[in-house]
Amino acid sequence: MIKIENVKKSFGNREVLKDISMEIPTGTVTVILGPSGSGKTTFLRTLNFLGKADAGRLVLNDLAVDLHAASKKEIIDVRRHTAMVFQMYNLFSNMTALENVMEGLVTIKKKKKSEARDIARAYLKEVGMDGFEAYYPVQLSGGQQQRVGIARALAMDPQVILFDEPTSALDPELVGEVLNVIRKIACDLKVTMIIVTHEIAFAREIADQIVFMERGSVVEQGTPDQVLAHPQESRTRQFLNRYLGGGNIRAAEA
Amino acid sequence: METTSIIDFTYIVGSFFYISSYVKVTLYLTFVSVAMGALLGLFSCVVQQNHVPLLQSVARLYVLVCRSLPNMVLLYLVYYGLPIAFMAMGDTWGIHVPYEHVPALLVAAVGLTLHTGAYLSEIFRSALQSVPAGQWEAARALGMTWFQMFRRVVLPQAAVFALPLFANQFLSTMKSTSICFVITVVEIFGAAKLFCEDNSQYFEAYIVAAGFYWGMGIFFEFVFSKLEYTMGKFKRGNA
Amino acid sequence: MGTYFDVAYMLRSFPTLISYVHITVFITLLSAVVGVLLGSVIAVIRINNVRGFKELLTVFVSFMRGTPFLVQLFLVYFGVPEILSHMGFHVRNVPALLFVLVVFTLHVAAYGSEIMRSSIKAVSAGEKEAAASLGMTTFQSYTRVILPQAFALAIPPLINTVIGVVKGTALIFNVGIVDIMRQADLMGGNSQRSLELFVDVAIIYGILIFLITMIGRAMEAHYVITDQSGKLQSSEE
Repeated sequence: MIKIENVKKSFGNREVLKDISMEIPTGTVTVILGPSGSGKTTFLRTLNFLGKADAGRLVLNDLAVDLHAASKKEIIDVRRHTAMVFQMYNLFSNMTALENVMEGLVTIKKKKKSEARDIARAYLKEVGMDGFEAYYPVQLSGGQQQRVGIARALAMDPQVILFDEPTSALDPELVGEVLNVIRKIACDLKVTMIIVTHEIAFAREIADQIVFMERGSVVEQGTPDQVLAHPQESRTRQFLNRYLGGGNIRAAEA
Repeated sequence: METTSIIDFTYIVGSFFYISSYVKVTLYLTFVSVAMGALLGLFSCVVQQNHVPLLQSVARLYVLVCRSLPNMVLLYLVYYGLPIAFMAMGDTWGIHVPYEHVPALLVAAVGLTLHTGAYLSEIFRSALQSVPAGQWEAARALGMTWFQMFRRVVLPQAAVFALPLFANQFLSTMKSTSICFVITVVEIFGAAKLFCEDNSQYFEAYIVAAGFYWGMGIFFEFVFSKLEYTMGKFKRGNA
Repeated sequence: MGTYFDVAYMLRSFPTLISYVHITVFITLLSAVVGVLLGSVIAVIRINNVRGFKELLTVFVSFMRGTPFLVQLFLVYFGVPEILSHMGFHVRNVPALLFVLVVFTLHVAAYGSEIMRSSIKAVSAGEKEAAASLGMTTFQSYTRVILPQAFALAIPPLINTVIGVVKGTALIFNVGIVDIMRQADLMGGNSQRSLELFVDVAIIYGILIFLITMIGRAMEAHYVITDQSGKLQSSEE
């Protein structure tokens, strides 16, 4: 179980995260939805300290940290138990696909190169990128790079994978291949995931829990059926209307 | 009628052999200054990048001053200042360095190192900044320490960016070694000057000296471009 | 600091030294202006592949950039008169300053031609086509359209080259020019306080370079306004 408690953050006078809390049961998928500027990416990044929260607490199974006052050691500990998949993929451009997936295993987990290579190969196969091992990121399409990024995250055997809008930077025809991989690891590998995304249909399909954020606070949260089909709050309804078009809401209410 | 030819080839050959034994001095000065300058520049750059208090300001002042001075002036400052610094060191801390006989080669190396280091510091800084922020973030998210990030991800990428500029600076420093003759270091240019003091064959001596610099420059340019090709493999891919 | 460094002497000597700065400024300005013009001509010739000239100029530029400035200075100051005297011309009365000006101008022309070459290429091909279709001759399209824009792009690296000239002037005392450096040398020989004098020299050069950098920024700003005035207006809507 992952517990996130009372996360707050302000930029000067502007409050961007207003007391956010949630619980993430192990092996589940939580999707955070919301309009641009709602703070969902800012929130996600406070969890692995890529952004600094002004207040809050994170409990990762056996590790409890203060999100504002964590020590350098605690920060590195949290990062070594979590993994992130970035909107811009952020593969290490000086390494091949295989080396990218191996990097964390060798440098952080101190595994032997041969062992790391086998593990990395297995995960590249899992995401459908076997055969591309020796290619550098500059030679790969966005979708291919993102799949390698997912393999890199998986290889670290993290307690949770944080997805920061994994498909937002992709050309439409490449989105599907990445969503397929995410669906696969959610269903087959039962990895705990927190996904920030705009893909509402996909969220409905794989999420165990949906959190709707707007302007820095959690407006509504629950199962996909609760939040997407029977939204309680008018703000949630407005957002869904905008994204899905009136027809779907009426169909859901029927 | 006089039959002095316009250019006397025996003097060209003579000066070639005379000067060639001093090429190693030029090379020595170049390599030492660039190597020490690179260390100095790397330190200055890292200290500024990581906002280390006090050291950061010292580094910025050092870069500003040494990039704004002609290297000839810097050389004179070291030439006149180093003995005084040694004298002060001797009086305050009791470290006795023979400041009466500070070797000219040392002064030259120190002067060129300070000059080269300031320029390399700026080159390294822009190289570090050329590495996209996403690379740093992905490395951080994996849980790497600063050293791990720097060594495994950032430095390889920054080095490829810095290489052409570094090569330029190397060549520039090599040409700067010619000013060291003013403080009695005999390298290629100093040798040329000595050679033609005897026989007034100025053109022959200096054109040979120029030829040495030109040739060495072309050679090193070639070496650096090969290096760039090898290191930049990841930018082109493995096709 | 007592015997180590005499600040009072340093301050006292400053006015004497700075009175020699006009030589440095004169050389810098003249060689910069003539050198850039010459460099532009060289760049245009090389871009337009004028046969005969192009190979010669490529070699010239490579030589000027590949050899130290000091060698070039001595080559011209000592070597050229020697050659000329072998050929029967005696140039004993030509002032040293002229040789120095020639060398600096050629130096700026060589470096400037490389800078102008890349900035001329950077001026979009479309504008060259537009100028041609208006009926301009090559000469007109260069002087009225291409070169002004290329020059604007070239200002930062050209300013760097001019700063290089300022730094190069620190070497001309070697051929007998009495400038700041020579004066500092002479005064130091008498007072045995050379360090203080060269700190003064360093400050003077620092001020000069700072001024040139400021002029460069002002020139950039002037060009940016005329280039981007359209953009600025529309962003204020």
